[in-house]
Amino acid sequence: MWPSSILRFLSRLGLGLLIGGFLTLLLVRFAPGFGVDERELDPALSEATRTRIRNQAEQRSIWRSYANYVEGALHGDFGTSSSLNTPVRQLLADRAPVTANAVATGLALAWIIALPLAALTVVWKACEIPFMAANVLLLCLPAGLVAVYFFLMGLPSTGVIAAGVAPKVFIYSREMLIASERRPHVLGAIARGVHPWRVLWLHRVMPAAPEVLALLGVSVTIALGTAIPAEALCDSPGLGQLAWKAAVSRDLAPLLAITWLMTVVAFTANAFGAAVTSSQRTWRE
Amino acid sequence: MKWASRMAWAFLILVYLVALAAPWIAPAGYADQFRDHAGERPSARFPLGVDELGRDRLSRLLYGTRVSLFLAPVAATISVGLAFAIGLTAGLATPFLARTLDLVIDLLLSLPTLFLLLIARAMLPLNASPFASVLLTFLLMGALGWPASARVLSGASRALRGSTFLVQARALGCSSAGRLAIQILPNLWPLVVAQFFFLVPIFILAEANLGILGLGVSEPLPSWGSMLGELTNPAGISRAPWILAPAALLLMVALSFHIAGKQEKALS
Amino acid sequence: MRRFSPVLCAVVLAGQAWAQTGGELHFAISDDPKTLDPLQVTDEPSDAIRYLTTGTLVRIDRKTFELKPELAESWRVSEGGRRISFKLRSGVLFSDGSSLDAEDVAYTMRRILDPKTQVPAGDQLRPENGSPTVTVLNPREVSLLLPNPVGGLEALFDAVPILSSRSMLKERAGLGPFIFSEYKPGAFLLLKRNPNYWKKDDRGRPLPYLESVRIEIQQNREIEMVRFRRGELHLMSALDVDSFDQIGTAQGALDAGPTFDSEMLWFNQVPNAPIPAYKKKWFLSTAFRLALSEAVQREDIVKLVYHGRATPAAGPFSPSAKPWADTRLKPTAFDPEGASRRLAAAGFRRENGVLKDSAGNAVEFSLITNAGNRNRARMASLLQQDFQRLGIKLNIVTLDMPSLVERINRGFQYEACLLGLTGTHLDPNDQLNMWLSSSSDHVWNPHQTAPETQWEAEIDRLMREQSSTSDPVKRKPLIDRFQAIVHDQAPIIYIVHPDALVAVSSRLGNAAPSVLRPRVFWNAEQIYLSDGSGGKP
Repeated sequence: MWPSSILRFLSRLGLGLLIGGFLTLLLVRFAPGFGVDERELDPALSEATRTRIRNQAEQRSIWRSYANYVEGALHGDFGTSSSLNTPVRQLLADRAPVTANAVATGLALAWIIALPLAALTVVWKACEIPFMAANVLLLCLPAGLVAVYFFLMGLPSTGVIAAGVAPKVFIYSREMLIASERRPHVLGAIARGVHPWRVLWLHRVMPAAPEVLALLGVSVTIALGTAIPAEALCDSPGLGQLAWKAAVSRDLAPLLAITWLMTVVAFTANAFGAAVTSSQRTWRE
Repeated sequence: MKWASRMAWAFLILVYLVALAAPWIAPAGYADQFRDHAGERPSARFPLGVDELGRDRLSRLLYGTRVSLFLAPVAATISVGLAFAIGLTAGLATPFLARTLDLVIDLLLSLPTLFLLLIARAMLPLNASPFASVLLTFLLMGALGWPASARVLSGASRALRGSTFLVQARALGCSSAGRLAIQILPNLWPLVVAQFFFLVPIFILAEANLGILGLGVSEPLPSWGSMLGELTNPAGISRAPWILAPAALLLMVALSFHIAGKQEKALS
Repeated sequence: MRRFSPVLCAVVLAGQAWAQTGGELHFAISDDPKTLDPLQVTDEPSDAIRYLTTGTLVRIDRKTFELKPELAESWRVSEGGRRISFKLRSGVLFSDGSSLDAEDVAYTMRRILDPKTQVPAGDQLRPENGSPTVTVLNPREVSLLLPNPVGGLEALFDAVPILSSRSMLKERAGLGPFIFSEYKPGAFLLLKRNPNYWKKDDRGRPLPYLESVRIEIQQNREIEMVRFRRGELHLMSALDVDSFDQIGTAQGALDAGPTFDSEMLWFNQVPNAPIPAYKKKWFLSTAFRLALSEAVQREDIVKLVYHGRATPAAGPFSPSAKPWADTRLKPTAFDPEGASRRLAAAGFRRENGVLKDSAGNAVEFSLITNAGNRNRARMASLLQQDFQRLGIKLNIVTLDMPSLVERINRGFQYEACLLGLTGTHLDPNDQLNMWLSSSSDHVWNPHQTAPETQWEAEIDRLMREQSSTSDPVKRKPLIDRFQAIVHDQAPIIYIVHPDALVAVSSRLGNAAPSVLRPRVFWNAEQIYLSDGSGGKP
């Protein structure tokens, strides 16, 4: 059972990497401004230099280009960033720990804050609106302003990531807990006079745990997605900043590598969530 | 909580009515420039002050409400609708279809869909109206913003699939359509509604952030997003706190949506 | 003993005042440098590193704009501007301890002039035709002979970094006040004091005063300002007006005066551009362009966009470019009635508030500009209202930079463009490539096989003639005539020259902000930090 599941997961992942990378290549190659460099407009440069800059763009056919990238990736060579003049492998090695640390910390912060607050609003109705207002406030503030505020508090991209993920975790987990209110066993426990906190913990939170864990998988993807603007705004030298710079300058090599990395993380996180949910179903059956 | 819900609904209706009536009640046109009054504080003539180009902030807020408050819910509806359809299918379909949809969702979560927005903008004629440009932006955000929600909904659908009451309903001979309508949809509906109200402010702000890439609303058309773009640093806000008006209005509208939506769920 | 104590204290204090300052200068650049090779520099972040780590034969004093000797103690231009000979200082060492001699200068010159390698550092020196000759006359003298005279030849060497021909460190062996120490992409660069730097202060102490320079990579301008106000950064080289007002002159914000930069608008005059033929006809009409120039309220743009910190532009040269700007030319005065009359004379008429051409087409066109630039977005909004006064509908389209460059340089899929030109050098040859009709940078109609208008042919002639004239007295009338043509024909509508807005910490001594880049640390070897990092030199 396990080996076949792992094999299935790996084959899905491989297919996802191939298709995802190719789609990224297509998107970037056909995006306006691909192969264009601002220095083409610099009158201080000679015609020859400007022509050389112009001709640096990718000239190979899309298929050949992708085949070369895949072949290189299989050998650990992800190409060279045209905007940073640095091997992508080195960029990934330098920046991945920064992002991993920020995402992990941001995620942990988001969950530590959001989940208990969501549970609290379910039990204590009086705090519902204030907490909801605080949650909505985080959604309504421009990310740039949040970045500056967090910088002032000494919390760079970590805080911005937490601020981006926490509202979603709060809302989803709160809805899951509210949905569990109508479950027969919960109604039964309430009818029997079980204390609200005991009902919350034993009959609502614990049974909802697999769904909440599945949400964890999604929140990893959300956190990674939030890391891109967060790092760009906070000037944190992580993968998110690299992705933003690469997108703005249409730098294909790092974009491909980051897409592959995001694909691995998304597939793994969501497979984890699906496995948890299906194991719960198996147990129930 | 009924009073809260009533107030929320009343506020939302008021805001929408005021937005619709903007051409008649706004003190000035949204593009009119009173250049001699640029940067002025709130006054009797300009209740929310004047921006750096001499435009009445209140007028721009009223007209901007029309753009953001109509288009962001449209985009959120598209996004949530797609997420619901695809997420539900992924959760309840045959294993092959479910796996394929999961693959699609995970791929879309990883792709730099930003480039799709850039490609779409490049295809729009340069002389397209500002409204056409912002409409396209919101429609695209709606069409691209569903994967994360679909992932949550597919997980919730899968969890429901194995629940005892659904098993019981099947044992009692309830048809697939019946189980869908009576057992599954009502349980998923709160998540769907929560997702909708959550996405509205997200899309309003996203439209402003996309301005950095040349997407979003074009001058002189105002939107909440473009007005919120002025909020870049605390020092500027403390010197001119009235520029927080769009953020305050967005907060109140978003909160009202949540409260009104919550009460709707309670009634159902 | 008690009577001599104050004297003793004074001596001790004076001794401390004579001590090396040390300290680390902190400032930020907006992006990672594209290259650390000083000969390949084409972007501003890389140029900042190059400036601090390399030495040049001559240096333009950023305050007086005079050319001062640097590694060359003297130079001579001869043969009508075809030959330049340098006499090097003696005793100058590279950072690795090797000596500088004429071979190193010759090596550098040959590298930058090599037509095969085409390094950007030699772009303004490398001739289109013919081979230059570099001759080492003796260990301290080197001569360069060009096939044709070059105007402003000696000043071009302000941007040519001299490399070692023999050092094992190659480009890393520098002659600048600092040497490269550490680089973390996306985060910072660290430069350390060059122990072998040749300059000394007027008391004979070795320069630089600073021990190191830490250059943060900071794209977020708001955070950069917060860090400056906190004292984490000691200078900001490019402030926007909002930040300038927030910091305030009392806290270190400084207006150094009009830069050499220009904000400008031009119309697409490319014959095969994919825009309607009737619009091309408008853009080709001098009367149309002049009328629109008259409709622009430059004073309002200065007041509202730049808060008074800009100067209305009359042409390509700002008032700061004193030797070259033709002071007789004035910025086009705001005259909407005059503009309307000019348009009417050109066959345009107004119907129900809408301007129409002679064929009945409503005058409506799009203006593209780069997204994310607040000043330009505001300027575009003001222009929109200004043109509306004439009955013209202007559609503003902001695009990200690559999309914008593609439209104006490749596909020519645009109608009008609002952009800025960064002036990096004092000499008019800095803009030569923009004004030659055959150039790809001739923004309104590039790559012309032959000039399509009489006035463009005249500009070609004038620019080529002045660029091959070494005598500034002879160049000036040619440049003046060129400016007059640009003023009369308005292929580019010049709007404003923004001021150089910088911020300098009160801890920074000897800082003398300039309008020429690098604006604040151009005299980095003289700059010192006071209060906490060491005593005042």
